[in-house]
Amino acid sequence: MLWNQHSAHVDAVVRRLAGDPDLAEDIAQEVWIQIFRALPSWRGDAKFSTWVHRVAVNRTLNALRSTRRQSTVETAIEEDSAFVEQDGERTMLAATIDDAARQLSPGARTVFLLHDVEGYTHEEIATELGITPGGSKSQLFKARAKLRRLLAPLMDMTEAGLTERSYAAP
Amino acid sequence: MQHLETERIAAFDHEEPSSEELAHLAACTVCRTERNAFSALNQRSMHMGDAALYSPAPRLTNWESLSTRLRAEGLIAGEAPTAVVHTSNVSQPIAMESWWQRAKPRNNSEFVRVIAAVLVFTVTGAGINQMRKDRAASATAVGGTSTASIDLGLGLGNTGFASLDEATKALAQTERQIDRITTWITSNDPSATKSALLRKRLAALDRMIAAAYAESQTAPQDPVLDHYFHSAKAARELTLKQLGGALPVGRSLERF
Repeated sequence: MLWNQHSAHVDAVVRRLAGDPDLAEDIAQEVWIQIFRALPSWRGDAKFSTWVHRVAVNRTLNALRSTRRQSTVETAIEEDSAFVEQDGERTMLAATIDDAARQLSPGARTVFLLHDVEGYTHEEIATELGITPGGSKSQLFKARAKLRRLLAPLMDMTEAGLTERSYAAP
Repeated sequence: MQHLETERIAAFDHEEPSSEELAHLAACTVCRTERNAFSALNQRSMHMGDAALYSPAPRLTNWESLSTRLRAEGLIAGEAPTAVVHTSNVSQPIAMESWWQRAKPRNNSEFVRVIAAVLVFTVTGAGINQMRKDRAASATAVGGTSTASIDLGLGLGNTGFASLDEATKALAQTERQIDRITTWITSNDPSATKSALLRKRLAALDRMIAAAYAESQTAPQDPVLDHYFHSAKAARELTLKQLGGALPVGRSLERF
C-alpha cells in the first residue's frame, strides 16, 4: 500500500533529479529502502506524502553525490556556469522544460529543479549541496536565463497563439 | 535603448526591480515580454512535478524485488509475495495496515455505509472542527448479522478554528484520513470487479483533474483548487489499481 500509493511520485522525483534513466533505476530502490528505514522517524507533523518527498529528494541527492556526477555538479557550480557545453550553445529546440533542463550543467540543473520545481529555499539548497545561498541564487538565475533561451521558440509560439485567440475579431 | 540583462529579469521574483528598471520596463516592450515570459516559465516549472505523475514511463521499482530486500534487512515482516497482479501490492504489510484490518466491513450494506460516511466526511471536510474530538462512526450491517466500527476522527461539531495554522493542520489530518479511508475502500470494495463502473469513475476523475489543473494555471496558490486536484489524483491512482485488479492475472493497466 505504501509503495503503491507513493511510487509514482517517488519515481517522478528520482527521474527528474537523476536525469539519467539508468541511474534513476539504481537510485529508486535505495530511496525506498531509506523510506522504510526512516518510517519510525516520521512524527506526523508533516503530511506523509511531503515527508516521503523529502526523503526521496535527500536520498537521491546523496546517491548523486556518491557518484562522480556529483563532483561534476560541484565543479560546475564553482565554474559558475549554467550550460553543459560552454563553447557554443546548443540551438536544439526543447519541447518541454524537462528537455531543456537536461541541457543545463548538473549543478545549475539541480539548483533549478530544487528551487523552481521542488520548492526548496536557497538556504535548504545551500545546505544540501554544500554551496552558499548566494551561489544557489546565482545558479538559478543563470539556469532560468538559459532555459528561457532554449524554450523561447516554443514559448513565443504559444504566446502568439494565445494572443491571436484572445484578440481575434468575432 | 539598452535592454535589461536576461539574468536580471530572471531574478525579478527574488529582487524587486529598481525605479530605473521599472521605468525601462514601462517603456520597453521587449523587456516587458521577457519579464512575462519568465513569469510563465516559473509557473510552468511549478507544475512540472504534477505533470510527471502522469508519465506513462514504467515504475522504477517493483514491489516483488523491493519487498525481498526489505525483508532481508528486517524492515518488513511476512511471507514473500506470490501473486503477480498489480494490485497484489495493496495487501503487503505496511505501517498503517492495522487500522483497516480492524474496520473491515463484511457485506455490501456496510460498504455502502462506509462510502456514505466518506462522502459526508469529504463534503463537510472544509468546515470540520480541529479534530480534537474524534468520533467513531459505526456502520451496522442490515440484518444485524455483523457490526463494524470505524473511527473517522471527524469532530463534526463545527465551531470554527482559532487560527489559519490550526485549520491547515486539521486539513492535513483530514487528507491523511481520506487517504486511509480510500485505500481501505480500494482494498475492500466488492464492486472492484465491475470494470465498467471503474472506467466510468476514472473518466470522471480525469475530467475533474483536467478542470482543476486548468483553473490552477490562473490561480496556482489557491489551496482549495490544489486540494481538489490532489484528492482527485489520489482517487485516480486508487481506481487505476482497482481496475488493474479486475484484469486477468498477470495483466496490469497503468493508464486508461
